[in-house]
Amino acid sequence: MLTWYQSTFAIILFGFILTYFLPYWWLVVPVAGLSLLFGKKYRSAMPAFLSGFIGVALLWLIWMLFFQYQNDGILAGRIAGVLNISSAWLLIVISCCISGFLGGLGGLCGYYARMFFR
Amino acid sequence: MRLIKLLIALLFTSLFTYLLNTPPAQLPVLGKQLQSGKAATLPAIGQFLSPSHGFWQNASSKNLKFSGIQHADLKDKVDVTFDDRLVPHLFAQNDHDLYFAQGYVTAQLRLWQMEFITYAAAGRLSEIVGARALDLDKKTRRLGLHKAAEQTIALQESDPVAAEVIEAYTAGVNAYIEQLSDKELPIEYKLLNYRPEPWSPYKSALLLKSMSNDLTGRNHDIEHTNALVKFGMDDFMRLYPDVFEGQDPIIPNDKVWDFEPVLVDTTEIRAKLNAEKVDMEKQAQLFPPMESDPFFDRPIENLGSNNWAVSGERSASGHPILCNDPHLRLRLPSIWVEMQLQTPDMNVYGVTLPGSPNIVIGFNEHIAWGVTNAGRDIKDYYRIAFSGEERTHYVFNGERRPITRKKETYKVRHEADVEESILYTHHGPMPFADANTTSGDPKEELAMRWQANYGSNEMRTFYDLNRSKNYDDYRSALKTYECPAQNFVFASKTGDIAISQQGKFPVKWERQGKAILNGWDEINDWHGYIPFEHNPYIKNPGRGFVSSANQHPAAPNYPYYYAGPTFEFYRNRRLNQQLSIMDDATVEAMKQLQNDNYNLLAAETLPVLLSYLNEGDLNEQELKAYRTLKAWNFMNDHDQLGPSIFEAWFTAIEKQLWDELEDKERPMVMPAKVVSSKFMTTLPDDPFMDKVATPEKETAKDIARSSFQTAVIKLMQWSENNSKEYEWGAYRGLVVQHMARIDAFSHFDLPIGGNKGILNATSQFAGPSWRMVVELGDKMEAWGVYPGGQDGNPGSPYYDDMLGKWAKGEYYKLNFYKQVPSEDSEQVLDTYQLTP
Repeated sequence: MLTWYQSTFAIILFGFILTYFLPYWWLVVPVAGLSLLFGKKYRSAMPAFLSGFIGVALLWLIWMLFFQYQNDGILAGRIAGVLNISSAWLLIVISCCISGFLGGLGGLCGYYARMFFR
Repeated sequence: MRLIKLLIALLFTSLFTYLLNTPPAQLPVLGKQLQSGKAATLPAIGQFLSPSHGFWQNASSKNLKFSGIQHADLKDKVDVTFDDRLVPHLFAQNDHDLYFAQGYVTAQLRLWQMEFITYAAAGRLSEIVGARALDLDKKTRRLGLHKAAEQTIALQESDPVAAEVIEAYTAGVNAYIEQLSDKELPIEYKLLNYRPEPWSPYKSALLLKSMSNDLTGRNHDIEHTNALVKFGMDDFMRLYPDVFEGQDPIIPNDKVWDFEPVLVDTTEIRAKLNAEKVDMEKQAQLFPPMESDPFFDRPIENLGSNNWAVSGERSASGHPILCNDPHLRLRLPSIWVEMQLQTPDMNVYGVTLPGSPNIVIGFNEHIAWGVTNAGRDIKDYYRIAFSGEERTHYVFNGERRPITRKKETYKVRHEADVEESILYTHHGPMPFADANTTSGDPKEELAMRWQANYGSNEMRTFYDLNRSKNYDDYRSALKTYECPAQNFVFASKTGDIAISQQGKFPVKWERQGKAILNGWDEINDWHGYIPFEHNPYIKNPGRGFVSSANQHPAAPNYPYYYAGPTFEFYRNRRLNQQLSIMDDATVEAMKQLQNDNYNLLAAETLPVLLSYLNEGDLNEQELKAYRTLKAWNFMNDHDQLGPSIFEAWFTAIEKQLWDELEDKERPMVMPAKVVSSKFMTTLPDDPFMDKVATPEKETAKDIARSSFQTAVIKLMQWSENNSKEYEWGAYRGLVVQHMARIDAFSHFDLPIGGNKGILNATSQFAGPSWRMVVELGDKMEAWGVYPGGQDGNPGSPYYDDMLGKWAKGEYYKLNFYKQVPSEDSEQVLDTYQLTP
């Protein structure tokens, strides 16, 4: 049984390790896996989705902030310009939402799989 | 029910992953519509945004770390040291390893740029961006440069030295490409969603040919023909003279040409054929009016360069000083990359074009050299007489000759290949002809003879220059240099200075190729080439300096005929005036001269122009502008108003003075600024002063007055539209543009003065692309700067870090190491080794 912050930490850790070596969409695997194995406490689909969303979005956020810091924000500012987005921070928020949504869907898969196999 | 919920969750997850993972142009239904537009190259959004694989991976830090590799091709280890500006210093044990390392390191810094240029030069951009580049690609291939690059590699293969260099360099670039993972790809590959292909000697050859296009592509033959027909030879030569009166050529006027020239004997030919055949005016009258295509005839505006060397007798230190600043298109990543190359036999520092081995402009422990463009016309159009409607043959010397059709295949992203043939005559390609259809445009019947369209082994020249120890080595290195013709300035530690104009120049009869030639008479063909020894050069002239700034190479007594579309008249004279009064030249003074903003055109023209105005006739705003001009010191500094007023006024004068040239049917080019200036100051009642559209008969005074009103109105409007004063730097504008024209990767409106025709030769899109000053003392000391940075990555702090200093006219001291510097040195940012 994992607490929510243990599960978030696990998503960040395994998500980082997996996508460091494998394509980025492997993010869904630890989320779905955790939700499948330890998702007992999720009384509905919503917490499963949110836990995946927050874990993955946080992973991307931390990762992006690391680059933002080491690069003084040079590149993100320019890419925001290329994509016609008003600032690098908005680009970061959008990126977190996209990855979070993917993570959330992963959480749902795990949750419904658990329901199915129970 | 539970199964259905699970399946729905899986379906949505897969669908969303699919959307994130698919480039928009490859999506079903929607994708098809995107394929022809700008969205054709968009990457998959998830991959691009992900910090693990996307653009974030290119967000590098100031403490950049690069890595070397182990490679079986290497014979020995190579030490690579990056200094604090990210200039790589390569220390190899042999030539092969050195050029392997140069290829590897250049790719590490500039892979996307060097590859993109070669795609553009080969007419293959449609492979990257899709159908919207197809027309551009077709035009590019009709230039024929990709065929010339093929000839170049054949030549290199027959030269064992050149072959070793280019093969090692290619292997080095490819060693870098092979180990490059998706996440490490340069940002532009990720943005445009493609991958690098293997490098080849052909690509390096393409690069130099593309440079030849920039530097020798400009051509006024079509406009000259129009003008010749409209005005006749006398007026034509007044507007477009071969030589400018009062010109100060590269080789001083007192030079004696003590050789027997290889001439086209036109008197003999005139007698044998008839006089009309070598009469450009009579020929021009045979041709219908045409309109040129800027792609072919004006590849880039305002290119040029300055270089000079001052002898030890004229320098404060007693050592020679050599300077060079090539004015090229200002680009990011920069057109140059800076490097030091060392083997036990050689130690050289300078800049080269990414993708081209060796150092192109630089110095070693014995000599320094630099280049400026010769600017001579080596591109001629010939009007072909087709034999029959089918365009399979043409008539030459009364005989029927076949037209060669060379098939070109264009790969187009997202679409089927397109095939098309290009027509070739013995003159060269027919750049305006479509092999299958005709639009009736008379240009379609033109063939082009162009020196850039021949294979040539310039790489060997630079290889030899990099190793030159003295004047004789330098002269001998130039022998292999053909195109684009350059003025090679030289100085040696032993105290020699020299300048040579080197290139392969055709021997021409007088005025041959100044306008379109008929392509059916042999008399109009090129008749051999000027021998190497007959090209203009001079060693240790009495005046104690040598210099060039794209002006005429020699005085009119030079025994060969030549012309050029854009010979300089002001920059060179300002340079020589300054050099000749400088008895104790210092490095500091040389730097100031490279950044000199003195407007000689204005200094020689403005006093007369102002005398045409009466204060009493001027309104308030005109009076203000008039007084600003009166008080102006002729310096085109970025924060002055005077240069903007003068520029706007002179432009308006040109338009009104040359209203006769405005002819929609027969477009013509503006005469050189010196011609306009001389007309306005010395020929006030010339018939050209009269405005065609008015019944009155105008003089220079009328032109000056009405154009002054126009100029002031224009400046006021500019200020209103931009809500700021028309200070010169802002009014001229200056863009350092990313090669793929991505605005977010470009820089706009740097505060820098200068102008074309001024030593600090800036224009909207071009300017000093590398400023270098070398003092050849006991220890070589050099300073340099260029508008950009060493790293081609727009996500790097080293992408544009030199721009600020460049705009201010400041320099970096160059680190020229004797041996591998200590890793602990403050100048050293990163080191690695390449090992066998």
